Amino acid sequence: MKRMVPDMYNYKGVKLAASLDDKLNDIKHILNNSSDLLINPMEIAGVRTALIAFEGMISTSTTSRMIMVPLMGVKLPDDTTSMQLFEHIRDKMMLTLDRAISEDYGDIITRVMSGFAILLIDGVDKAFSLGVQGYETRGVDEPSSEGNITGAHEGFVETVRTNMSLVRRRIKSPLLQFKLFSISSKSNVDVILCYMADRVSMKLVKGLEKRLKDIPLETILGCGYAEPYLNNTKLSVFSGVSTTERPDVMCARLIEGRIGLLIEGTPFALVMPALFSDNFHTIDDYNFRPYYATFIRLIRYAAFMIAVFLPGIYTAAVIHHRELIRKELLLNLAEAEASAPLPIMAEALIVLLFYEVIREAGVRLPKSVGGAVSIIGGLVIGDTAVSAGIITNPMLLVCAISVTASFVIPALNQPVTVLRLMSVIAGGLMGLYGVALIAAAALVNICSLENYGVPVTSPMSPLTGRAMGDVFVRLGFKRLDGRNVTVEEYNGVDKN
Amino acid sequence: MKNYQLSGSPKVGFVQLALIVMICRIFTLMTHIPLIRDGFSFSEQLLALAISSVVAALLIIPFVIFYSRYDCGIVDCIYGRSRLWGNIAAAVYLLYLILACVTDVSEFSSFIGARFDFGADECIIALILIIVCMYCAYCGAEGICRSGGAVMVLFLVMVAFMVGGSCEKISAEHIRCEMSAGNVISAVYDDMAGGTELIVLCLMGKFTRNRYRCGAYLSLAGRLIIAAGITLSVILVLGDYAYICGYPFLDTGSAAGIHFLQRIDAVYMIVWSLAAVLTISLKIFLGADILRTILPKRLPMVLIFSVGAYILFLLDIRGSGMLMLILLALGGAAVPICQLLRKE
Repeated sequence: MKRMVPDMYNYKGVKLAASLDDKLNDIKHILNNSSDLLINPMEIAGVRTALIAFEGMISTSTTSRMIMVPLMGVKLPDDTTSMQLFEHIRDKMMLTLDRAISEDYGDIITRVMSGFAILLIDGVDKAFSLGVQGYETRGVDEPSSEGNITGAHEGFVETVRTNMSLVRRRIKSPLLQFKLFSISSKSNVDVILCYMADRVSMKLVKGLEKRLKDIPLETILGCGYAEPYLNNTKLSVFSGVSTTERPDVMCARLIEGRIGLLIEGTPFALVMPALFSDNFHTIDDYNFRPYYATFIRLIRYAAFMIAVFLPGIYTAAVIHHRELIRKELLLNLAEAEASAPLPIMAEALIVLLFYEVIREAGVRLPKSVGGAVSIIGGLVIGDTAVSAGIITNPMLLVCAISVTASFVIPALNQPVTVLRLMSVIAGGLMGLYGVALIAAAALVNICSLENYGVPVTSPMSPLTGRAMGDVFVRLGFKRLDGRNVTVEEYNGVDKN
Repeated sequence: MKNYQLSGSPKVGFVQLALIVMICRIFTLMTHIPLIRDGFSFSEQLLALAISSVVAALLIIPFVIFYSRYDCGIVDCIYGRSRLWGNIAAAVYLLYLILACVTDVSEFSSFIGARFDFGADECIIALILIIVCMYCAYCGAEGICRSGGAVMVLFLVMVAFMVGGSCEKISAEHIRCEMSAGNVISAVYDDMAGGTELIVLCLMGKFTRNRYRCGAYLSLAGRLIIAAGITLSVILVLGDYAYICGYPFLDTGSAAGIHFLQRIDAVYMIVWSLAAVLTISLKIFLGADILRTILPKRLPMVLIFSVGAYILFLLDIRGSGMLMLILLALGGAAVPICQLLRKE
């Protein structure tokens, strides 16, 4: 029967050939003679073998020390058969801790691209996959998007296995489970589902695994690629899936009965289901004294309301509800606005949109000049715009307060930005009535969101009294002790 | 978001049910306090509120028994036994809900248009309100009911500000204690007829997850307390002026003052609007759910849009503007009528 020769499109599931020359030719054919493929033929106990790997993906020192030297030192009779050599290596030699036996080209190609070295033996239709990864990775560093004062300064990195260890170190329990598999048809990205086995149903885990495997994208380069497929919430500015760069936050979520997803190549982990109140919690809350943590938490909630509604309420009050403002303040505002050439609503929109431009420029520019953008944008342009009479001081002040308030809750930056602009337009056109309509629509929208059966507004609505000790306030640990409530125990959770 | 409420399992808790019924009551009272508008004395109003609550408690007993035995809604049950009577029941309830929405939208947009000048016609105010309510109805009963908790908190904060800001103007002399049996009976009838929240309470049993009886009686108790509290506060602050002004609760808010804000009735309007959106969107949702019983294969959005279009259509018939009427008749009512008549 003619042997099936695999190619770069059809190689998954194709069994390995027995002949070493056939195996090498097949692999070269699949990889189209890629320049970074390293092939090292050698003879062990009279049997022809070859070690293949990708350049830059393996640690040469580890490979030499752990694989090449022991193999070269194998003492077997010269008439050793291929299968005897295979069994000797399999049963009597460790070589590396991360070791697997591959039987098809799909597994071999995936592993060699993941930094494994593959040992092929002439006459055996199996191969050893030896984990000797040595590609360059970023070291564990402070998370860039979730700063804190008293908590750990470790953040996730792009390597999923390193991230797995960061979580494992913090929860040393056999109940912490990791499920590693590949997704995406072209790029075979490694992902890991993390969960506590006693707090999450296997039905949910299996459902998530199926969803991930069904993602039709050819490649997954960031958490945003997978999020839409995991998010049950549609047509909403709020998401039912949250991200975190911190392993300690991830562990806290896992203890609450949620599921984490680590994706190779991105330092952000996804956590499902997300709750709205999560956006107002930081790890520092649990390191501060309860009274101060409660105060700061209430500040965050107030900051959210200020960030979203202050420009809209100001615009509405100045245009449609002047009777709301006291005489002294009204005269000052009238004097300032009298010289402005633009309508108030247009002024507010221009200032807010200009802030978005400055923010985006600050993010995209190299760090060496990024700071200069803040100075130029904020001080120079803002100040000269006011001096030139294009925008007014009160409007600039209101927008600056709103923008600064939004920095308090960076996780909600996207919905805050959208809702802020909508409230300005609604306030400018229909006054506080318009702002109220926007607020109503947003409130009903977020209250209707559920992800994996858990309402996003839990435990506030539906109210779960036992869990309220850590929502608006932060009770002390002695009082929280014994109130460990997982998300599945919240009122209103659909367990089906 | 998954609109499971038009097809899935009930999820509204009994406390949420009570809160949303109270919100509906608050909206009615904020927009027009029926008993004050009709000129009854405070003692007559109080007695009438108590009696109407007792009557309401008796009237909902059949519904409590029904929902303790059946998981489906009233119209669903009737339709399951007889399509003819099911269609009649659906038409009656749907017509009631649509007319209730028309009344609510009309009175609210008149209130907004009269007291706050946005430079926008009442039709535009009503149109935007209905669009927002249709969106909220699409979010489902669960979202609307959960929002009720937040709106109730805002309402209580608002009342606290009102009471605190009106302390100087409160006078017990404003309370008139006249009593007439005929007036009390008339007041009971006005109170029962003036609020649509009882029908909402009866139809919401289908969506209540558990303890409907507790939720129903809790909402009736809350309804009584809210009505009595609002009526008392209005009369204590405004006195006889409450009987002649157009919007007593708004004027009570105007009378209250806070140091850094004046004329904070505009701020109260935010709570009004929130209550209006929740009340009207819940009724649109219930109307769409009734439509779904007789037209199960229609998309939820089509059903909701149809109900909203009917409301707009009937609103315009009440109002003026022949051109608007024609445009709305063509685009508003015609589309959903064609959709609904399309063969399944």
